[in-house]
Formats: sequence, structure tokens, C-alpha cells
Amino acid sequence: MSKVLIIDDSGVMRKIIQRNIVQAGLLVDQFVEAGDGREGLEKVKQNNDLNLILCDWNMPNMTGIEFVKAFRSSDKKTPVVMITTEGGETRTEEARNSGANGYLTKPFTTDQLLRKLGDYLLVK
Amino acid sequence: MQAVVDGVVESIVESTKSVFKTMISMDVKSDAPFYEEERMIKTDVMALVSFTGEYNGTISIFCRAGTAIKIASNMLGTPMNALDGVVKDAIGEVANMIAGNVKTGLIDTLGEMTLTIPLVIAGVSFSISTFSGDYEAIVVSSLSCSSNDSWLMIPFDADGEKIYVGLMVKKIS
Ligand SMILES: [Mg+2]
Repeated sequence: MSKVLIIDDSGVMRKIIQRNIVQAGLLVDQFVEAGDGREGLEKVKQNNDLNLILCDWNMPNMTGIEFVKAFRSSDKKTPVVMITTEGGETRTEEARNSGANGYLTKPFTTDQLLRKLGDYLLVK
Repeated sequence: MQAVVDGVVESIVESTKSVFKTMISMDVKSDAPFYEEERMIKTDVMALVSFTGEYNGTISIFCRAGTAIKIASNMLGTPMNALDGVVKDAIGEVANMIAGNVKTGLIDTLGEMTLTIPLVIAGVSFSISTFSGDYEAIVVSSLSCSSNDSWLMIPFDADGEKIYVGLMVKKIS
């Protein structure tokens, strides 16, 4: 069983990410969604069996980077990959230093997503 | 300043093409940019992202309702048939991706910038000047824009669908 939490303030983007994961042949049994970092932390509490967390950066209420820092204060293991429109070294560095394992910039192709997430999920 | 504007325009063209190709499965062609007074703009959908930093400005998508619906349908891989919250969300994400890529691409020339979360306004052939509230809060605060300001509009064509990406930018002294 593999369970993935997708945190993004755009419901459309959450659906696109799910569709691309399926198209890439990555095996996921259940997707859990959250619209911002705060909701992400609630979902984490309700789901202690997450295999992977995908997290946007710019979101209302609590940003992705704030989420990663808060999440890492209690969970050092579950992998987190940022999926955001913003790239650049400063951002990727900050994400890594805050405890993110990977970084994927939007827009992305199914192949790029597969390459970034292939380490954390089984492939068909 | 002209060199900065030219650089931003070039980056918007590149980012828009890449976003449409990758996430919307549409090939877009760009046309020559032109200036349009804000009060002259009539649009069904406006999706804007503002940036603040050494330069302040706004990047916005303008298009007709039908075009927005087509873009959202392609993004989701499901036919949409009304200009609803899902379509607005989709166009907001397109604006977000274009602005985010412009920001990343121009970090060396424009410096670090902060982007706002996309704001989408939809109606039927509305004029921007008829809107206050949110739009002014975001745009006026970063640009002190008056109705005399002009947008630099970059036209795009995607299989006959017209999309405009507008830019307003100002150096903070
Ligand atoms: Mg977002």
C-alpha cells in the first residue's frame, strides 16, 4: 500500500499531479489532498502511514517551506518533494536545508515527475 | 528600463510557450507586443500575479471565457463547459507558472522577488476600471497604478484561441 499527500492551493494542480503520477506508472493506492500547509499538517496527523509528501511553495495561510520546517520537527523520515513554480538555487537550497528531499519545478513533464519521484514510489 | 522590459517580455514569451506546451498540450505562437491603456482592456477572464522586490509589477493573463474553458479542459484532460471555479483555478495556475518561471529566469538581472498568490477575476467582457476591491489592493499597492497606466500586452495564438499576457513593471527607487 502506498499513500501520497499532495499539498497545493490549486485543486487543478493537485489533479494534474495525480494524473501524471498514474501516467508515469508510479504505484499509489491512495491520494490525500490539502489546500495549504496548515491543512497539510492536519492531514499528516490523521494519516500516519504516508509514503511521500508532495508540497507546493506559495500557498495562503501556511507556505510549503513553513510546512516542511514544521513537519520535520517531528518526522525526519517521510520523504518530501517540493513541486513549485519557483526554481533557482536560493530556493532549492532553502528547501533542502529545511528538510525537503527533492525539488520539481512547474511546468513539468510526466518524465520529469517520474525521475523525481521514482526513488520514493514503486514503478509498475 | 527599456532593456529590463525587453528582457521580461522575452522571458514571458519563453515561459508561456513552455507552460502551454508542457501542461496544456497547446503550441502557442507569440506576436508583437503593444501597449494598451488599462481602461481600454475588455476581457472575460483576468488572472494576475504581482511581484515585489527591486522591481514591482504584475503579470496577467487576459482571455475570453471560451478560451479559458478550453485551456482548463486541456489541463485537466476532462471537458469543462462553464467558466466556474475550476476553470478560474486552472487559469490562475497558468499565470502562477508563467510568473514563477519569469521570476526564476530573471533572478540575475532583476534580483530576488516575492510573488503573490494568483488572483482571478472572471465575468463577461468586463473592464478593469469597473473593479475595485481585491484588484486594487494588489495592483495599486505595488504599482500605484492609475487608470491612465498602460499594460504591455503580448499576444499569443493557440490553435486560433487568443491569449494575452500583460505586463506592468516599475523600478522601486
Ligand atoms: Mg500554489
